[in-house]
Formats: sequence, structure tokens, C-alpha cells
Amino acid sequence: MGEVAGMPDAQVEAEVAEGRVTLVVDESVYPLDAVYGATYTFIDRCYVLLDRAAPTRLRISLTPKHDADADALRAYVGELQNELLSCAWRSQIVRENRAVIEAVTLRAVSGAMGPPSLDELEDFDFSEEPFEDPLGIGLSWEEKYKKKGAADGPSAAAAPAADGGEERDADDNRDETESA
Amino acid sequence: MTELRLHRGLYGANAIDEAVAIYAPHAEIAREVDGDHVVLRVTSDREGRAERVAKELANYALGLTVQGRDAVGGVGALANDANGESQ
Repeated sequence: MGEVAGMPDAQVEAEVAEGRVTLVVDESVYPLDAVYGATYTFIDRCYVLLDRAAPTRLRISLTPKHDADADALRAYVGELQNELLSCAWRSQIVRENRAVIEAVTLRAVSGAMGPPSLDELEDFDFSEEPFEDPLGIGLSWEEKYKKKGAADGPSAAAAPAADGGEERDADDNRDETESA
Repeated sequence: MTELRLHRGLYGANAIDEAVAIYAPHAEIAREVDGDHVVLRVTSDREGRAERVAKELANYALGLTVQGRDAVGGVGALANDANGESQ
């Protein structure tokens, strides 16, 4: 059992003769999910064995599938440590954004369920207040640009269709003047 | 004979079962529980085969464990991301 150059000997042990390297990590620094994620990327090149060195410490053993000297073992350990850090960071991002991911996924899935059935429409509560529209986007052109005086006055209520047509013509003329 | 000790808190029970079933045709595998570990004793008449089967079995069990956690909503997807795989 020997130490690996450049690596803390309390955490990394190498058995060069047997072509095996062991790394002990603290679970409070690298969560179990990160350890799984990092070691999974090595199973095509190494035989990987996980074990518990202590209640909060995990022992990761890597045995390269092909012959490896001390430098190669050191490279494997370095790569594993980088991968552990990467996976731990990704794990934290996933934890922090879980609520957002779930909300977006829920909306996407509910949208993919298709239009509501007649029974669902029957149960729908149409008495709900309409959405707020401070810019008047939901208003028709007539509602938005009608003249206050004409609308409020007594003649507006009894105005025939012909009057409305004249009003539109006047508005159109004004628009043309403004654009010119 | 090669002895393989898999921690029951780190390797899924189903993953171990499936891995043993997959590699059983290649070597004789005896199984028992010792505290927190499942102990697999692998023997074969062919030289070096028991050790090879034990190591491959451990890798297979780890892969299944990670994929199993992924399926139940764990963060096993990290591994797939890191490998550039998509599901």
C-alpha cells in the first residue's frame, strides 16, 4: 500500500503491484448521488467497487481493466476527483432548481394532455374574474377608441348604424392625416 | 475462489440479484449476508475466471444500482449527462 504523488495520503492509497487505487471521500463533501454519478463514468475503463470506510466516508476502489503503472493510476485518481467535484456541483444545482423543473414539466405535461372534454368544460367555473388588462389588449378597437362624449351622451345610446359609420369614417380620416 | 463484498446500503438488492443471475452461467456463485454486506463467493475451474467474473459482476451491479436510482427520480441522471448520453 503506497501513496500517490501529489495526492493526500489520508484519502488516496495505491496498490501499484495489484494495479489498484483506492480513494476515500467524505459524504458531507461529495453526496452519494455524486459518487454514483462519478464512478459510473469509469465502469467502461475500470472495475469499480464501492464500500463504506466509516458511517460518513465512502471508499472507492478503481482497478483499471488494462495494465496501469503508477502514473496511470495517478491520472485515474485525478480524473475521478474532478468528476466527483463536477457531479457534486450538478447535484446541488438540481436540488436548488427542482421546484422550477417540476413546475415547467407539470405545465408541459398538462398541455400535452389535449383539449378538455365536454364533462370537464361542464364543471369549469366560468364565474371566475377575468384577467387584469391594464393596457387594454383584450378590448376591441371600438371599445378602446370610442369617443367619450359620444358614448356617454344620450344620443350615443340611440345612435343608428349610419351615425356609427360616420364616426368610423371620421376616425379613419384622422388616422390618415396623422400618418401623413 | 474470489470473495466479493457488496455493501447493502450502496448496492440495490435487485441490482445484486440481477447481476448474480446474469453471471451465474459463467462461474459458481455462492451468496450469503454478513452484516451490512452481501458476500458473494465466486469459484471457477478456469484460471483467473473467478476474479474476472467477480469484478464484472460488481461493475454490473453498480450500473444497475445507478440506473435504478435514476428511474425512481434520483440524481443518477448526472452520470448519463457526464457520459453525454440522453434518455
